[in-house]
Amino acid sequence: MSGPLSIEPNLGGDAPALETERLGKRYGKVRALHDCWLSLPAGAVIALVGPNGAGKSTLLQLVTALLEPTEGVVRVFDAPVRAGAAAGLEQVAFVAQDHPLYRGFTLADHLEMGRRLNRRWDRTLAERRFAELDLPLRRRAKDLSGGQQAQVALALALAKRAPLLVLDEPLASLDPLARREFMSTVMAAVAEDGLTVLMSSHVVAELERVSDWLVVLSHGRVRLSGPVDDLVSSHRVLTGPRTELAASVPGVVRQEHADRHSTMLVRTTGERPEFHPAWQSRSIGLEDLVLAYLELPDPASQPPAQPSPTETSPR
Amino acid sequence: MIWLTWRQHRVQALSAIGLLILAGVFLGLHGQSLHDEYRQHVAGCLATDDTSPACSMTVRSYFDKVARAERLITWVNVIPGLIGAVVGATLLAPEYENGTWRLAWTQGVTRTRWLVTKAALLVAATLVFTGAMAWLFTWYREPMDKVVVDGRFAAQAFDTEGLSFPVYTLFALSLGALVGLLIRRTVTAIVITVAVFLAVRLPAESYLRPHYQNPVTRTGSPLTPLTDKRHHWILSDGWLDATGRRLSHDEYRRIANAYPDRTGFAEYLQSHGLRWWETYHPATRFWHFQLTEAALYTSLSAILLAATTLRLRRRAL
Repeated sequence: MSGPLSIEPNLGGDAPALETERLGKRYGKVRALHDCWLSLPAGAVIALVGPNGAGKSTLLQLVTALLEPTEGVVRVFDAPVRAGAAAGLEQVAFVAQDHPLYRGFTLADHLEMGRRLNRRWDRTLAERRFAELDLPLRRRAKDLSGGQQAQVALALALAKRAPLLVLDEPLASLDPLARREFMSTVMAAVAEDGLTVLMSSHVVAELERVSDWLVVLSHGRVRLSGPVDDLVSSHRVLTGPRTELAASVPGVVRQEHADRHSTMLVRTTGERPEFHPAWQSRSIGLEDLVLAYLELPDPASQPPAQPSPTETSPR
Repeated sequence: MIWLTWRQHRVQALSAIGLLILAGVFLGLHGQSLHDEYRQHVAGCLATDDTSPACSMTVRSYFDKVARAERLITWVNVIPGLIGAVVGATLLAPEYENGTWRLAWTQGVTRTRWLVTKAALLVAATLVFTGAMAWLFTWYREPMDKVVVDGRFAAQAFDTEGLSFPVYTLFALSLGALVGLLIRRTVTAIVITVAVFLAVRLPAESYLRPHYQNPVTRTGSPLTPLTDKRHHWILSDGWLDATGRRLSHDEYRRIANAYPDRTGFAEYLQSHGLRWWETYHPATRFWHFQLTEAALYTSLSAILLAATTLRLRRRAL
């Protein structure tokens, strides 16, 4: 459980914040996550989206060592993450769904717990957050509002000073005002400390404005992973007459045929893609793009979309 | 971890200390009067087998006092199950029920270390508390055990004196921890812990304990009554006929009822060739039985705690 630790993440280098190889988790015969390959850059705000039951929580709990994988490995800043290894635990801070706290504990008790259970612990940071929120240290967790509870859970996670912050559906139970406050705290930490953030949601719109890397998960498989800007600019929607021409268009992700015309989503590779003049080309929004990938047929019959090595870092 | 364990279990710890003080004061005062009365009045009558009316009165009233004391301290039998439910079952179940396991096990300490440290501290505290209680009961019951037929083998004595009391509690605690991990709902875990604890503990007492060693059987003439009968654990007794066959209760009653009056009854039985028999564990076996019982429940507890640790390490969900 001891050993050399990099206290600061290697932000400038090539080391990914999070890597998974062939990661999989089965519950009995049910595959919650299957053949998951990810390489996510340091310093990015990564949105993990997918419908309920897609395997988002499973993936996040594998990343935080709450679950043991049935196959494959997880590495966070090159430290293998396993339930039995403290080195991996120290690299990841986690705010679970519904922001659990010990109901009978005061805020001071939570800080003391954090100090006792972590080798690195930034009590000042958490205390500053509590002061900004106007929360006295002797307040018990059960007397906090939902939004306050989320903020306290976030402050505790940030005080852990781990280079990767994982948030599981952080906004789901919050009202719009609390959502904005929560996200502004997260983004401030990203700006100040170069934190890498991995957050899940089943609502794309929630994360669109803040995230710069997107991972789409459905049926326990990674369907899409890449920088948000690149993903948006590299996809085009083509509409045109229904002819055999459709077969000659490269990189078709998905196509729909009506009586007379066809609509296709294509992924282009070149800088300025050129299509047959019969086709009208337009760009696609992030939300529609995610939906298009989610509506693809069951991936069991197809090879999964893997992150391509040519994809560049975000921003 | 030590701080966290204290913070999460301090109410239970302080309650235990409070209970210990209360029991100490109450049993201390009442026990002192039981000891005094036994030493000053009862011991003499029993030692000389004095059958004078004064002695009979003394012994009889002391018997009544002991019977009342027995009833008064029956409540101590709930302590092991109670600790199993309140401390054992609440070790893991509430963490799952409130979702705090995701907070606790994503700190810098592995969940195996989290569990092992907590369990070790709780086991240690439980053994200290129950050990002190058992010592108190042993002292309190000392004069009582001298006037009860089975002595320290009587269930009430055996279950609260020596090692039994701490090891029952250890077993209940370990059981509660595993049940809490498997069930994950506090109230259900508490109910199941108590039910399984009783389902093991009570049949073990009735059906297992008599067989820790082979009992001794002896026979004797009706004219030589038992003199060292006190404090042995009598499992069964009865009468043999002249051929050495054990008589049923009805057969014995038929012979006994045929005799008109009480005087010379022993000679009458003797003339029918009857002999008494009894199967028992000698009083000297007390510690052997205590150690056997302790080994049994300690092994069970070790298995339960190991299973809890392995299960928690393998999967949290």
